[in-house]
Amino acid sequence: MKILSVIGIIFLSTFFISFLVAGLIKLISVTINYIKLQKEQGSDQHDELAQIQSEAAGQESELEVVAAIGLALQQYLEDIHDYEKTVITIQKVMKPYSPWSSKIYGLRHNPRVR
Amino acid sequence: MDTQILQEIFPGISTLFTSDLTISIGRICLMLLGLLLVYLGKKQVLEPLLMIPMGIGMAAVNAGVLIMGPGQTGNLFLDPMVTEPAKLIDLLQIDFLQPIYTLTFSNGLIACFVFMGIGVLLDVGFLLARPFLSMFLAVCAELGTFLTVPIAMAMGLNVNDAASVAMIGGADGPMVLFTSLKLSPKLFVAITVVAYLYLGLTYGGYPYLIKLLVPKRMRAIKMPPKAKIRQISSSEKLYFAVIACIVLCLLFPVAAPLFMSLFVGVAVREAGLTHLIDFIGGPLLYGSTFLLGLLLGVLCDASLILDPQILLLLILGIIALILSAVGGLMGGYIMYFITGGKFNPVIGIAGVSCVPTTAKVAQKSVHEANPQAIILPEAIGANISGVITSAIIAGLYITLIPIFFR
Repeated sequence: MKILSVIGIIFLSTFFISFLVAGLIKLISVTINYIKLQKEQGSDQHDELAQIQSEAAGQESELEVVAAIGLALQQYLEDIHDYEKTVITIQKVMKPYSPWSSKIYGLRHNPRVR
Repeated sequence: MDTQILQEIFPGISTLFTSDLTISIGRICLMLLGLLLVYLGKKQVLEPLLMIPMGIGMAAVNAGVLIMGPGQTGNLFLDPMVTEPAKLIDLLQIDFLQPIYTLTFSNGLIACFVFMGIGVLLDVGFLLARPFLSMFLAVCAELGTFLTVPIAMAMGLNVNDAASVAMIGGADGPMVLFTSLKLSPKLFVAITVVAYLYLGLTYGGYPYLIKLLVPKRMRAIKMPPKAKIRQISSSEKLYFAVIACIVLCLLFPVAAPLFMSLFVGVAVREAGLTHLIDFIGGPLLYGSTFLLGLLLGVLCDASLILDPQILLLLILGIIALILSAVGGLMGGYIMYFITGGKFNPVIGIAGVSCVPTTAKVAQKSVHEANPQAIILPEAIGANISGVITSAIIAGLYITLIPIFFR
């Protein structure tokens, strides 16, 4: 009779421990799946950020174009001066004589070798 | 020529005539049995990896008998019964298999090596995919391991021997070896030999049992495909191996070497250590299996194996294995009724933890009934769970029986 009770205890223990192991397996699976999900979510966020950055980078390139156009416009506009008088006048300029600026003292001839 | 000189020249033959008639007949029968095992191994009826070295060892040890002294016979293979340290040291230098027996077999090391190899070959993903179903089938398939204990006690064995022989119902050789070493060191040779002989028979015998107990209509049931097949990552399997090893070792320190061996194999596999996988799954596993087979054969010495209890052990071993198979199929039937006829009951027999033989036997039987039915993933899951439940029961027997029956 005692052996039957002991075998009963061992059977119940086996049943209990086996299902404990099965539960442990399930727990590990659930935990790992949760961690994986978290990682995937993290990587999703990362992807989102990367997408924003790439979009921003795209925008940046557009901005560069805008900046280039702006610069070109600016340079173009800088070249445009104020309207000036279109009447050309010849004004006589009085120039007093000075030997310092006299042409006769200037070097007009190449030196000659004698 | 003098008869005595002839006896000395041919002791193997002369001892057949000079020793006890029972022993002589036993020797001849065991030599023939050895030849039969080799033949059946070659024909793939029995497991050839184990049966061919075992058959040769069995035939050789019963043929190569020497006269060791007046009225005393022996051999140059090994002596498993020696306990005296001085004599053991002598034998370690004389008997060629004594070092392997003493240093690997009698301490369970070879069982642990085989378990490591099994661990490397196991894909626990099948178990992780359906843990509760697999465990349920495996517990059902341990029916023989539980029921054989009271039967063996009713037939006159003591509780330790009864528990050891009942472990044959788990159909797990290393586990039987380990349990019988711990619980019944006097009978462990006989129990282990019987266990391994029967394990070879499961490959040949279980298909007939399946045909007998499961009608063809049910054997042909195709398992419905899982709605969502989840991929089990190797890190998940690795975590499982480590945590399960720690928990089971905490629960059963006496069976900790076996648990560690099994799960270290799984961990090595899942960590992707290819060199170690090649070593453990190749030379270590096959080397251990070969030496185990050889030792088991050599242990079948007529003077040793012809114990009055051997017949009893043979009967109890077959009872344990049949009950376990019936229990597994019962588990399969329970699942068949729970799922409304969608579960193939043959899968239950794979809960008998003879990895991977019973899973292969189940698949083969189902394939014969319906070539399109594939049950191998479920069967392998139940098979692996069977190894774990066998280890749990071994741990419980080794721990609880000495406590309850002091």
